[in-house]
Amino acid sequence: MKEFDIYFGPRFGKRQYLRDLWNFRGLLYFLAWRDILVRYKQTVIGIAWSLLNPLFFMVVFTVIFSRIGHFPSDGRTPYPLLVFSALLPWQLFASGLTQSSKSLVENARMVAKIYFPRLLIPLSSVVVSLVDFLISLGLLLAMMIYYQWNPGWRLLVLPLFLGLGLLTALSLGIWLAAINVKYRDFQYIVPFLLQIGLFVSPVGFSSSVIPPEWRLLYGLNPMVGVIDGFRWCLLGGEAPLYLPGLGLSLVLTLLLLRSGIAYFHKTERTFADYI
Amino acid sequence: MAIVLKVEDVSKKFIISHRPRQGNNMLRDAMAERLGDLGRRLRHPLRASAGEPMSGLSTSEEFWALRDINFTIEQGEVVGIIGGNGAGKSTLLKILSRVTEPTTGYVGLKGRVNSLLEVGTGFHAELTGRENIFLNGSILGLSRDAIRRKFDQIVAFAGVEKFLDTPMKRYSSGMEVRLAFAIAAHLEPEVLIIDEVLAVGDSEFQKKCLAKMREFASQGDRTILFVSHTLATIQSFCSRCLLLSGGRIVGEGPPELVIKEYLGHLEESGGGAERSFPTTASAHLRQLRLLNTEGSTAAIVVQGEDLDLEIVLDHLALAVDPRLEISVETADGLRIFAIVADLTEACALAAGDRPVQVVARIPRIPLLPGEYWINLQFERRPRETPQPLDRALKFSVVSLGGPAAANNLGRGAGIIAVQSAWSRPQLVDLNSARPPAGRP
Repeated sequence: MKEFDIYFGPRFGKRQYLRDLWNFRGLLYFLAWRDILVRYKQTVIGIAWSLLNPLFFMVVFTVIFSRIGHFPSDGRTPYPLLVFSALLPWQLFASGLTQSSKSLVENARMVAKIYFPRLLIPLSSVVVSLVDFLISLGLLLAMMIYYQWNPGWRLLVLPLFLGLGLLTALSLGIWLAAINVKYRDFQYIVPFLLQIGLFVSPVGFSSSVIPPEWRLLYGLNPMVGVIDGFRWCLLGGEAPLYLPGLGLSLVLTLLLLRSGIAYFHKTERTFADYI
Repeated sequence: MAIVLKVEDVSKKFIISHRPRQGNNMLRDAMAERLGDLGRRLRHPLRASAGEPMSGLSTSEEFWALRDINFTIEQGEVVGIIGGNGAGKSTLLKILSRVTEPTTGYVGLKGRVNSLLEVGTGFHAELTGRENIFLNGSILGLSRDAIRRKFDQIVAFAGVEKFLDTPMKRYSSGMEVRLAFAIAAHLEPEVLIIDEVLAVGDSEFQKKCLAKMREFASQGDRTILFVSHTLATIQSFCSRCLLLSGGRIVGEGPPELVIKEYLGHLEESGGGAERSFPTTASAHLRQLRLLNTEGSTAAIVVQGEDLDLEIVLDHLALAVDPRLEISVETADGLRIFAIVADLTEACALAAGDRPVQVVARIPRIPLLPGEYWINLQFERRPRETPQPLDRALKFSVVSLGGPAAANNLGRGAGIIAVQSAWSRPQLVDLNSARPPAGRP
């Protein structure tokens, strides 16, 4: 049965998939590189754009939630820091999800004409969001210096929550990218979902304002665990971690990711027929 | 020699839906279908089994683009695939390149396989030439090191040295195509699958491409599989040829034989090159015939050769100032050109109702390969309504290469073959403060 290197047909499944992903890893790099290059071509202030958005939201949310709504901060945390430390993962998630969910459709010509593991496209599209994230993170560090805020050793755990945030964006993004190929309705659903998500997730306020008996249920929103984790890392001990909620977020994300990859893999071999 | 490519029982099914609505697959439709189906099931729980085709909201039809394809290709073979539009050539190549999965059967591939279904896939208009070389190269499966190593060769082959740091959106389409092919030409696959991409660029560049292909093919261990409408390319390149028709392989063997078979096929499906008309069809037209350069009836015309249209008319005696307009249109009804015959002389010759024959010669027919229709319209002046005879005859144009086919771009290129000459590219400085003309 091992007469050929590659077998392609409905009877032949996943065996070669991981190997293919590995063989095409260079393409992952180039696709991400392209997206980053293209993003800032012909813009005058370039990367400053990725700073303006979170800055703007930080000001608005601080005014609305803290000054007008009188929401409490976590301990002695300055409210702008509280908001900004949540805006970071939220922006990462929002732009990651937006980019990845439309990534296949935007690369329709490639999908229709060239073979490569399609999973590379949503994967690479998330990298652009990561670059934006790192730039905003720089801004946050500057703010911390301004507020003379020392996050302490917990800062070292941040990459874990960054990873979780990326996984959350990817798990939904992979699902939506695959569905978008056939049903373009979802490209309208994503912005809507994100608008609502910004207000149901603890971005403008601390999750500690949620009554304790609802905290676990609140964890059903996978971004709650990510945002709480970010605050725990960045704001020192002021924002205690609610572990059951985090666990629930994690399990949900992994389930979404697993099923998303399965669905993607099942449909990707006919993407070219529908796109 | 070893078998490097095997196609076994490959079929590909598409579902064509005949819904009045158009556009993308809408979720709405899918949901409506499901709901409708569910409704029917609830109402008739016994009748509506899962396998029963759905009726009502949508009528869809199965369409087999490919049916039971079986063949193998050995290492070192150069195999051409020919067939009319819709024969399944492109679908077959898409399956071989693993772009889309077959409905049944499988494809087995050995070694490094590269496919070029389109040149310049993944080019991004905002990126510079240099950036696009890296991007496109990696999309085609070249590693970064390999691209770096071949970078200079690619640039030289395409002749875009001066434009390397110019965004691609400022490139002419010719430059873009040249760069795209240059990248593709520097791949080093063991099996190469190509769809009609040789037929791009100006004729000089084409020669370069063909030479590159020949060089590749002459290495002996390289296998090439390609589709072309330019039969001459197939004939000169291939060691073997496959003929597809209606999604099946209907011919296989040495290129000369298969090409002959293909032309025969076209003849059969061409709707005949000769047509007679009953008296009711048009008051004066009796017969219409297409003649090729050898003077025999032909439904297939070779691009760039002369074409004779023979028309027989009768009952011309009563006509005053009669004219006959012959027009040619594409299969989808786009009118390409028209020629007009003044029949006054023919009327005089007819002397009553004897039939008269006129022949119109269209020299070096400038149509690209495809199918065309001839429309006729007979007019009598001054005030009689014209008598049109639409789609009187169908004919096909094929390309056999040579200078006339040099600009054959294949499908999507347009309708007519136009010769063109290109100047060498020159750098232009768009920002230079050149004094506007006409001012002191």
